Amino acid sequence: MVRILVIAGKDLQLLLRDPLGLFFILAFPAIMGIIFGAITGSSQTDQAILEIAVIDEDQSRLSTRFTSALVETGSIRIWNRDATLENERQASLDRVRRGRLTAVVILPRGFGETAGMPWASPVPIEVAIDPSRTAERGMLQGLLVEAAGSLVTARLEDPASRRALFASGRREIERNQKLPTVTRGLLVRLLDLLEREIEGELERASSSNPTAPSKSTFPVDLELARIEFVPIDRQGDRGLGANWHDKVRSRWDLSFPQGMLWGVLSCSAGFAISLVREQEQGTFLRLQVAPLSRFQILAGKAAACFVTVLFVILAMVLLGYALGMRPISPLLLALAAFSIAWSFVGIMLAMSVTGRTAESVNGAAWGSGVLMAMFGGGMVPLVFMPNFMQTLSLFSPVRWAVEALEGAIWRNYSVVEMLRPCGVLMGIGAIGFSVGILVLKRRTG
Amino acid sequence: MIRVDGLHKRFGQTVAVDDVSLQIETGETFGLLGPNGAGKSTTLQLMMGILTPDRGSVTFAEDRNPRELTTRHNLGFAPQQLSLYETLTGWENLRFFSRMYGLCGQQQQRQMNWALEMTGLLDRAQDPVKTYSGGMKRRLNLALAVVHDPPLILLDEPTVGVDPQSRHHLFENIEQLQEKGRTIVYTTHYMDAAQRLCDRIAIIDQGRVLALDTVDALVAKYAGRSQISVDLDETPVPRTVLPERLAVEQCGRSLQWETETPLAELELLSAAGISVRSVEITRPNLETVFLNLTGRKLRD
Repeated sequence: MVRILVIAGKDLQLLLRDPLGLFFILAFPAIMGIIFGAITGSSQTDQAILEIAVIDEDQSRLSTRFTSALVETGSIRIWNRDATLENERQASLDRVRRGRLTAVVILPRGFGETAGMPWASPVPIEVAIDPSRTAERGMLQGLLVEAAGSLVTARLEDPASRRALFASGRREIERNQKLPTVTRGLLVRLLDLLEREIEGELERASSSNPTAPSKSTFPVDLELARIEFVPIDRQGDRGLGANWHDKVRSRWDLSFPQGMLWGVLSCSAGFAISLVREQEQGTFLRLQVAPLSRFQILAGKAAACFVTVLFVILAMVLLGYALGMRPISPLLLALAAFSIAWSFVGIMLAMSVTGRTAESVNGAAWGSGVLMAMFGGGMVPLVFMPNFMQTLSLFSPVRWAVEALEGAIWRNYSVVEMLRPCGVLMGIGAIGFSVGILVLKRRTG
Repeated sequence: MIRVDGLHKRFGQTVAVDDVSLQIETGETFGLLGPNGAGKSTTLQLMMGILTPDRGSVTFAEDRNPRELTTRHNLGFAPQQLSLYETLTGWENLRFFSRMYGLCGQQQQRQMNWALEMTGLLDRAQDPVKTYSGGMKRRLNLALAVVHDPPLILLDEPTVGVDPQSRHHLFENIEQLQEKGRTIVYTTHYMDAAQRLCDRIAIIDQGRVLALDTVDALVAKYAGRSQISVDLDETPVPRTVLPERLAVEQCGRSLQWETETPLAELELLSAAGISVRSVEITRPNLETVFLNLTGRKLRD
């Protein structure tokens, strides 16, 4: 055991004397974590904003109101607010084509005539969106519907528009010969009642608050649906106290598991190369002659890699903690870290015997690392991948490592839930160990 | 101390070691002399149990197998390739490898100091190995092999690629080890090193042992007689004046002949009153032995 620790100590000492290696093992994952965190940008204080152009060809009160409603959502910035209409359409479309804007929204002539009338056939809003921004497409659609909904309120606020709205409603009902006469009569009476009720409410509201602007006097809140996002990841720790609960949930919770994995991959590749480098420089031969078993030599190298992986994860956790990350379960995080370390040490041993030169092992280790990261969600989140790639990700240790870390940091996994990713990782590690030892045994006689 | 019986090793189509048998006694310095690629290093690795022979066996004292950890405790090995951690200091390299042999505490310190002192590296011990010259690295390579003071030391071309001064230093180090009674197996393709250091030599080529004996016996058996070349003051010397028993070839003022007793025959020349301007005696050596055995020079 002492000899194993001495070999591990020597390898750590060699690592400390290699500034480039240290950078890739310690600084690189931190940079990746921070970059991913910035990209993820999912904290409550930094909402993603779509920058679009709006071409208002209608120039009506309701089209102006629609544009304002879009801005009021807080998710849209209009690039051409103060621009003139001349050439604006082509200039905006060019910007979308060049990727400078997400989309152009065109409000055609006649938009204001039917906008906000639930029973009128609306003039279509034209949207030209950057084809590569598929993720934002649904979001923009929702924001446009939300802004269109506000036009119903706008139409009811203005007495002339309101009267025109109800008059057109009555005309539509009376014109529709398919409806039975009784039904038509009932619907017209219902509209009369609704109009009277709304006018009564408006009068009462303005008499109780005569100084308030007309916009806010409308008493009816026409919400089509109310959506509230609840923190599913925190349901289990409500009892931990408001203080704890208020601090948690930053973008770093999401990004640091990926960053940690890059550090682990660097570590694994670095130690895989170190084994073959020892063979190249002859020190492995010297170790073979020493009174050591092959197992002791490999165990020493594995122990150094194991300690370094744990250190990388710990350093990343501490950095994440300083930035605002709050792991739910430190114990489960420790379990995840141990499983990941075991797994990637096994992978390191298997990688180290893939080639006979440091260059070939370096290529194999980094190539397979990038593939594992790509398929395992270390580069692009799994949800953005097609189904077949999500299935393939089951074979990537990175996928299970990310799941184990997320389970401990913010998914609030139970011990039983953690067993699956951790078990898979341990299994991968055991296979890697076996492959490494068997190949090395065969190669060195 | 070591008995090697019918050792055979093949790498693909190439036979690296072909039916090699040796016996090396305790306290002896045994040389494996041969050109590059002759199979010396492979033989050494088979003797240490790093490679597994296709046929044959290696037995150490008390019938021990080279793969046994106890046997390895008693082995010191300096590979031909410099096997050092370049970013560690000389001291750190020694500390690491001496720990691998179970040394610790006072004993470890003492042995490390001894190895560094012997190889003349004590004052550079705290410098990273990458700052050492080639000769210093070779000396550290030797220090790592002997730091645990093993009774059996295997040196694979320990002076290859070093300057004459470092080479001389290494020879002195090896002679110190000989004085301590260590058994040394020394592979080389340098004839002078083998002749200076080795008690017995196995001449090896293409994986086979061609001859095995002491240097003198090998020379006597395979190298032929000494060659004498004499330049005379006067010319020509009548054949009748030359001693009868000398089988001399005369060419102008120059005389040449082969003999087993060069000095005695030169005295005969002097006694005959022949005035000699210069004499050159070429004694047979291991180079001649190798040439006679293989038809090639050692460096070919």
